[in-house]
Amino acid sequence: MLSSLSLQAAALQSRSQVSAGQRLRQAEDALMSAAQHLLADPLSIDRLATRVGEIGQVGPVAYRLVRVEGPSWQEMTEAGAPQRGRAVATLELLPSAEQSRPLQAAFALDLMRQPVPQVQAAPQLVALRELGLRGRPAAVGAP
Amino acid sequence: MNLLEALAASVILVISSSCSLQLWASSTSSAAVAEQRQHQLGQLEIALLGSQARLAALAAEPVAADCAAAARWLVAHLQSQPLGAGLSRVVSAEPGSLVRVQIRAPEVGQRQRWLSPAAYGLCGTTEQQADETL
Repeated sequence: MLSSLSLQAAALQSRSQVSAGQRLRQAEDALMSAAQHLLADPLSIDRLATRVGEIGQVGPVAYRLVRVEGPSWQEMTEAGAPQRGRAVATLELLPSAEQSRPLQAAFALDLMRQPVPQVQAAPQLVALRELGLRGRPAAVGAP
Repeated sequence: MNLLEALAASVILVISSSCSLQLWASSTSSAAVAEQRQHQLGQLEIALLGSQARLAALAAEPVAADCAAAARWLVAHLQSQPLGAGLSRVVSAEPGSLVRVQIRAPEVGQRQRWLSPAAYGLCGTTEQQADETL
């Protein structure tokens, strides 16, 4: 009898863990969507720092750009090779009915720009990676 | 121990065993359902991250001259990717040159992400167009 009750308790605990995992994944989806929405305009990359504090909305997700660090650029590049750089943007989900706590995540922005003598010197965003949600390391790479 | 006590003990034993068996059956069934849900959640995760990984794999190689055209190209491209059994997918072009990917699993609901071709350097002059202008 006692072992059956213990099994029942374990099943309940497992169910609540699954629900918590689902909420966390939904928050990750919302934050990644927010980052993609923020960066949907390729012309705004070099002006990203001026957008700190800006509030955006994509679907049901409302977010705020909290911080932008960088970009920092590679110092040495081979002649004619594009220069690579990196910036980090931190986004915060605004509280909603499903998510009462404001969650934050940092995203790495991989940038590239052509060497100065060429015409196209404006930085171009080439990749976006999630660095972590509230200190939790993100799943890296594709399955 | 007289007959009455023996009967009472038997009744208690039978009731207790029956309850225990029912709880076992219920726990086993719950565990199977939970396992199935966990499996489907994993499949959802794989499908969604797989779509995003496609963009990462194409990074820095523009697929169209502007982001709206790149988003349309991506919709067709992502829609053509293989999908796990039992899942369904809707990929649509959204305002602001975004692509919305929704993956559904029958028992655990859906997950969705908005993806931007600009975030992976997919908008801009394609090599073919650049060649044509030279």
